[in-house]
Amino acid sequence: MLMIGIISEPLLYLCFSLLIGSFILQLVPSTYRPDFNVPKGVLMLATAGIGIFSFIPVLQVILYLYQDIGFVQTLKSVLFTFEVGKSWIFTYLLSNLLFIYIVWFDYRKNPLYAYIGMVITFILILALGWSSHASSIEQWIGFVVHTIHFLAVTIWVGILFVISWASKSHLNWMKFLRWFTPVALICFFITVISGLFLMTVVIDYKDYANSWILPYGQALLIKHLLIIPLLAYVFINSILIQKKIKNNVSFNPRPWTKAESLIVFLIFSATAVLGQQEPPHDIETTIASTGSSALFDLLYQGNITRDLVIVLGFEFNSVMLVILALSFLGLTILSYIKRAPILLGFTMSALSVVAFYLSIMVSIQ
Amino acid sequence: MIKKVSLLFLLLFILFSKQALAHTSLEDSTPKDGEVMTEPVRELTLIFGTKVEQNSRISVSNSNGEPVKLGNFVIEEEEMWATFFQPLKNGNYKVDWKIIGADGHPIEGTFSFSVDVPHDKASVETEEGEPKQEDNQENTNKKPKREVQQSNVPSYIIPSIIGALFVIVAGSFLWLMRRKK
Repeated sequence: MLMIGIISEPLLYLCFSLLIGSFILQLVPSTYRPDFNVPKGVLMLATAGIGIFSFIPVLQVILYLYQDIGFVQTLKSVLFTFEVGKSWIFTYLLSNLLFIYIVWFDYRKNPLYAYIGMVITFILILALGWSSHASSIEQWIGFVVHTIHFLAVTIWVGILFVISWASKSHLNWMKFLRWFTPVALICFFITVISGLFLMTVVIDYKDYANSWILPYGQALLIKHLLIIPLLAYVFINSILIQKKIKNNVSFNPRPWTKAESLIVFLIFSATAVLGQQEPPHDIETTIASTGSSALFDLLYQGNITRDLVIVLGFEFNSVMLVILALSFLGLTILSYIKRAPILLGFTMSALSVVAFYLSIMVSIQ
Repeated sequence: MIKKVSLLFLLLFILFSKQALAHTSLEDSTPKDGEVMTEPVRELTLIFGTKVEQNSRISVSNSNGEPVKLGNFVIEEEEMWATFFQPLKNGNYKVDWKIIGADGHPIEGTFSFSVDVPHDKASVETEEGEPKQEDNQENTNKKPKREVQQSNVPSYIIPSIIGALFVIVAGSFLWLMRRKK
């Protein structure tokens, strides 16, 4: 059941990104972007995906509870009285509406259609924010910040995904970069700041390192480390690529944005793992109830106790691993300069995350 | 523009982060964890940091592990309260709670309190209960031992990973440099 959640969550984010990305790009004048084509069918699938994938967390609650009062009774009570259930019903009905809307009104025909489609998707994002974690602790602030966080991600990543995978050519790429780079940067900063805020709702800054003992903290650490290669790709795709296109008009930048979108998908997956774990409001009690993370268990050399305080101390192994991680980052950029296959660049950036991760885990005293 | 937006967020962030700190799932309860009640206890209240969904439960047991029957049991927003049929006898009690928060996450927890009402008719039972309390303490002492079971990687693994990664770095660097632009 845990695995289904880890698979369905990133797909849910992907569906939202596809919808928002397609609608926004359609509203951008065609001289300021490459031509793209996201078929109606894909948007219909994405809408259906929202309805289905957002049900998984509800199903998980039902499966957790049904032994006590039976499946049908649990289904009823979860759907109609639980916050997650009620917001899912709303999401489901609205995603049906959006589905019919996409069938009837082709967003490519009239900018207004794309605009309305975007508004409906936005309401769906609000519904998702409502049923999310932070909202149940800091009701309103959590809800608003989570929505801002998710919206910023979907705008930035949505445009990135659609342009990388659905553009027909790289015509107008420089003009596209001129507006997309600042948009992406603003979205990125908003995402980071709202993300840090959401993190403090769950764990105290002082407990950040200590939370690595838990599965939740491990997922959070990996998510944060994945941002490092993402920044390398942002650097390549926004700055380095301009020079290349100026020198060589026929240069195709799309494989590199594809690689960037793959890293983003990995971050989505790490986020999904986060969502499946119990948020550690109090680390000691969480260790007692859910146990420590298997990864931490494996890599930590000392004894795990409940009141373990994590202190980092760099010694030979960890310094070596940091050097390796930085080399892998350098190789990511080098493989771009040398126009190596994308898979190589992607592997290099993935290995840099592995090396960064190991260096931190090894340096825990 | 970027500066303004990030400043605004930083401000919002500083404003709100303080009150967001230090959240525990169980915010407060009467009796509190570890509290010794000197007045008769007829009610139990638990207050959480989240709205508590229906289907959430609590169970109370005495130091012998026998469940104590609850009278009324009500869930209202962030609060759960239960009444006891009779005031609790002197002794130690353990409360296990298992709730579903509004975000759909199940959360479980335990706390304990003791009742020590002077001149209680059943005070004889406290003396009986005391050795058992020690048993309980032993049990809690045993818990950390269970956590020590670990499957550490052998010490040669990390250096070999480092070695392998170095080979990959050197290999791909050479391959990339030999490649013409």
